[in-house]
Amino acid sequence: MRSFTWCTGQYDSGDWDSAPSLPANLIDSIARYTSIAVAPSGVNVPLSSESILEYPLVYLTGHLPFRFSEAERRNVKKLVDRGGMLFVDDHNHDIGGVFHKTAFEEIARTFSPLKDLPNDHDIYTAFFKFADGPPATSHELNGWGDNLVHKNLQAVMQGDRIAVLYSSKDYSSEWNYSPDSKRFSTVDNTRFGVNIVVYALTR
Amino acid sequence: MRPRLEQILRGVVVAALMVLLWRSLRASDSDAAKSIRARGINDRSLVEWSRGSAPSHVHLSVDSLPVGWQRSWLRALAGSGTRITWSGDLWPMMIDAQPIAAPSGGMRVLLAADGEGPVVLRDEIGPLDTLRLQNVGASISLASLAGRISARAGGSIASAAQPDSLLLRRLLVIGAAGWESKFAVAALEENGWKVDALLRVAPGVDVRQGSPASIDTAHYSAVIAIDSTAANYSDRIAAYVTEGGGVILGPSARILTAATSAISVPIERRSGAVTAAASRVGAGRALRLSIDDTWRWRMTGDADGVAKHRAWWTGMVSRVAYAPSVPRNSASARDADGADAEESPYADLVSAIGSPTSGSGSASGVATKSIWTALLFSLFALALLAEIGSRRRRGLP
Repeated sequence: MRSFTWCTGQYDSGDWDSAPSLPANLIDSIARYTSIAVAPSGVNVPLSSESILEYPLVYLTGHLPFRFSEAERRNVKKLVDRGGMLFVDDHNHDIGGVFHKTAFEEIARTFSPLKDLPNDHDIYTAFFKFADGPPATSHELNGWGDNLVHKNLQAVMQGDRIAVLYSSKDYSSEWNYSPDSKRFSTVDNTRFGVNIVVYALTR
Repeated sequence: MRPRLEQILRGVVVAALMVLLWRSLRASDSDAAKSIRARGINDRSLVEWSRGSAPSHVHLSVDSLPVGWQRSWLRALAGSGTRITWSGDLWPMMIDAQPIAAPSGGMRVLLAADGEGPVVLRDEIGPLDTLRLQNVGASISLASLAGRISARAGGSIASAAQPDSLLLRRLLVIGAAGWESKFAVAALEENGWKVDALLRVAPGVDVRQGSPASIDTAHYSAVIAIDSTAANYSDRIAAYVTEGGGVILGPSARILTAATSAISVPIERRSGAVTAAASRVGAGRALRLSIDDTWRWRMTGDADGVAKHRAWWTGMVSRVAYAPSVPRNSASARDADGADAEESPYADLVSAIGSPTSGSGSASGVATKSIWTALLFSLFALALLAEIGSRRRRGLP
């Protein structure tokens, strides 16, 4: 059985590697809670390379303006059209930030405009149950950034499948720590990350 | 001495005349002894050969296959004692149309023929395709067919009725959560299959798609066991296949290992290695795969990689799927003139009156008779001339 490999997408326009500890943390959670065969370390793959198509779930994050080059746009479109999924998270945790504005535009230009994902969508019950929709992050609750708790994630749908999942909640900051530190938490805040992976692998 | 020789020659002449007289009387007295050579076949000749005393031998030279009732008549004629031989440049040919067990329907047309040249396929609307045979066989997949299909090459023709429809049920995919399971489900759904799935994500925790039901032929046309996760259902899957169901087993799905390793037929090779092998298990069929990363064809393949991936999975499923047929109206087996489809009329002709001869078979009896007559006549003439010459040399009239 081939294992799942967490893939962080590299793009030319911004700081794609702003959450370097996130992959290891989520890989730890997948191994901890599920029986999914998972590669022990993630990979960073340029979106401009066709190698990105070997990873049907691609994670993108950053703080800076977000633009696809032509090659990047062509490859991510191919990836999504063939059944893959993009998970894009705004590392700025604010709604007026440059990443948010430019990512919304770029996703609309490449696919179609993002729309609010209902909080009873399958992704919230794919493994762990999140009755109220996407879990809030400590940055939202502490009033940092835009001082809002974002009630919904956004998505581009392909049929009834999420093709692009977009978050303004800054999971990149929330999950960007060493997995060893989980023992100090009452509730593992990466559990929703497990749902994203399970959803991508099963829908 | 000379008179004695003349007497002998006279005796030979008389004997030859007697034999010729006897042979001619025998031939005219009995029609049953006559041998007939016929080019083609028609209603009147069949009636003529069957009326009164039948000929002893009929040889047919044909440039097209006799139709069904003509073959039946010839069979009866042969059964009543007339030796019938035939010759003609006709291809042995057989055609069959089998429904494909896939939501998109369609059929696979199989053609076997022994000859060189094109074979024209047509249905009742018009020509469909022209095939050139390789190793005396060819197959073609058709999306639809109007009425029956026929194949024609020279004077040979064979036809097959439009195949029955198939009743397809759902598919069940069992496997671990992973790209192979996900994209196998996607490929099948995109091709129109209704798919239930049990995808294992943790011990005792499955992501369920559709409405997984009891594993039996009332619910499923096929079960796809992607990996070892399916071992939890091995007893049910084994019983299902034995009852007539179809199963596809991934490389690590350790189910039915004894049954599928005993007698299996390779049905696909890639880079020289067998990638799929089929076996019969009870009343059902099993297909064991040696590859578990077909999803890469879809994601990293060329522009039609997605279509190829879909077609591959549907092709594999259609080989094993349990799909009871829904018989068509029997009238659909006939053409507009009410004639029945004939899958192998050549074989029927051979069954009725035997294999074709070289073409001289019918003439042999006649030729033999002619040679004997010529020899006797020559003997008669020589003896008579010798006798007359001898008398003249003696000065007698």
